Amino acid sequence: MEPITHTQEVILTTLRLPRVVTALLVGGALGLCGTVMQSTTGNVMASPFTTGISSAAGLGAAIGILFHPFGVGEQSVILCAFSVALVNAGVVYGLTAAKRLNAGGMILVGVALNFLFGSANSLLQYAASEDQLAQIVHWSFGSLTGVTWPQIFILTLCLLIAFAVFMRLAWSFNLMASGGDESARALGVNAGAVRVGGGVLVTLVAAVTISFVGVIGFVGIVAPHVARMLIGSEHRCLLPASVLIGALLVLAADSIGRTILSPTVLPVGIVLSVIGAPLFLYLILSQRRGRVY
Amino acid sequence: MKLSVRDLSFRYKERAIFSGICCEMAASSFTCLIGANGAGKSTLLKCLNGLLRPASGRVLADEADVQSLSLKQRAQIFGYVPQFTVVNPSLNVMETVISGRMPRMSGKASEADVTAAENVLKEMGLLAFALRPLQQLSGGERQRVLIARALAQEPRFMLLDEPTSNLDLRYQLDTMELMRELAKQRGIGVVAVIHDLNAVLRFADQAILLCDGVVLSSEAPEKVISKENLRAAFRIETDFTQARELRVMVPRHSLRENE
Repeated sequence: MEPITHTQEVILTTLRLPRVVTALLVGGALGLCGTVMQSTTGNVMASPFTTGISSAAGLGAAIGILFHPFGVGEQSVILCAFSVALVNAGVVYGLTAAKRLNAGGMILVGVALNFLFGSANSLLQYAASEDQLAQIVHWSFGSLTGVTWPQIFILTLCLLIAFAVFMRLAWSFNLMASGGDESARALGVNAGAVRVGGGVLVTLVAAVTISFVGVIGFVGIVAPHVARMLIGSEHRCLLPASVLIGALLVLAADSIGRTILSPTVLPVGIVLSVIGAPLFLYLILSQRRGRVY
Repeated sequence: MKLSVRDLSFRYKERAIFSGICCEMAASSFTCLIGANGAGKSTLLKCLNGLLRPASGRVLADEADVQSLSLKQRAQIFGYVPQFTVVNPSLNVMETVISGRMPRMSGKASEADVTAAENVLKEMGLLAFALRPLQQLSGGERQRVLIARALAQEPRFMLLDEPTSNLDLRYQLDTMELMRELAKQRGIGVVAVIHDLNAVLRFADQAILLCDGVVLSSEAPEKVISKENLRAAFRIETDFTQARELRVMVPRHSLRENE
């Protein structure tokens, strides 16, 4: 076997490897966060973006592209997306805690903010130049291109911390996902605190992820379901399985998107939805009655 | 340990459910809460373990106000089996019972927690089912698992909301016997909402009859379940008869508005 050339080494370490690692980390993080959101809200339709964070980050990115509040360049867009996502999280979880909203109330606040931020984003797109509009739209597709090693380090740290915290709460999730808040409280679990605390951590991880790679929505809802179909709803196993399946889904989608129409690269978010949605439908419909769905 | 209810009132927004409730429940005793639908039995049960916050009054576990205790402390005192429990279909019997150790574990289930759960399963005759998913159990078996989960909390009091509803006669009998055993043999104070008054007469040490938001009577079941009290609480006429050594209540007819 021939030794790799310097060019090949550069391509491997600065393009291919970061992309693969990012795909695994982003998929793992969104799969994990999706499971936690579904468990803490008791809603199988929930995802890391249920609280409106993707629309908020999209608005932030549009603000960054149009108005450059933190200067010109990619870092500014990342910072803007992250900041508006945090504002969104503050409003959703602040209202949930202050008004003692239940899971349904929290989701509805998220839906309202989703529309609000989405409309504001549309308004900015309406006012944007062609070049700016192209940037905003491209950002919203989600892309694993250009993620740097320092960003990968931050993603890794977020995933590890979130995983450790959520594994510690696995028994609480088991109770909240099945028996509801009252059953959990009767066993000493402060369901409201777990929901808000877990949600805030989910939001932080999702905000970091979206800021770096844009919106990759489908994996956060589908990875938990696939994991649940394969191994059941016991969270000590479900959480690691969601990480693994999320990671593999994004990696597979990105690999397909990079190679299927090469040299044209399809955005990973689009590939995930196009391939994942029919696959997901097949999995749901082929389930034996009364098992999970 | 003794549970004392002092001048307890509860309201949902403007609607008063009950007011001025006073009663006591002792360890090693089986107490049944009885009354017509909507009398506030389930609400009172949830006030006992602090799941609901009363409008006024206090529930004292010995001398400690239940509302002043943390959720974890309350869960170490009270095991609770709700009327409707949706269980995680993926969890097996063992995992469900281990989840009852939540108030006593710190994040992870230890060897001691697993052993405690095993012991409860053994006592309840459920060890053979340990690895079976809950969705494969009958209603009666599932009810036993939920009682086992509450027992795994090592509670001082067990609160059960209509534990015999939806069970066939055999499981109703088994469940009532189990609750009496828990009180007599394990020294646990058992408080249950029960609709079957004949089962209350046969098994309970104490009955508390709720009517129109107050305690109509609170003493031995044979004194509480009387013609006069049932007429006032349920608006029915009844007869009493004797079957072997058991006193049996026979409902005759409901009363009209002007009766």
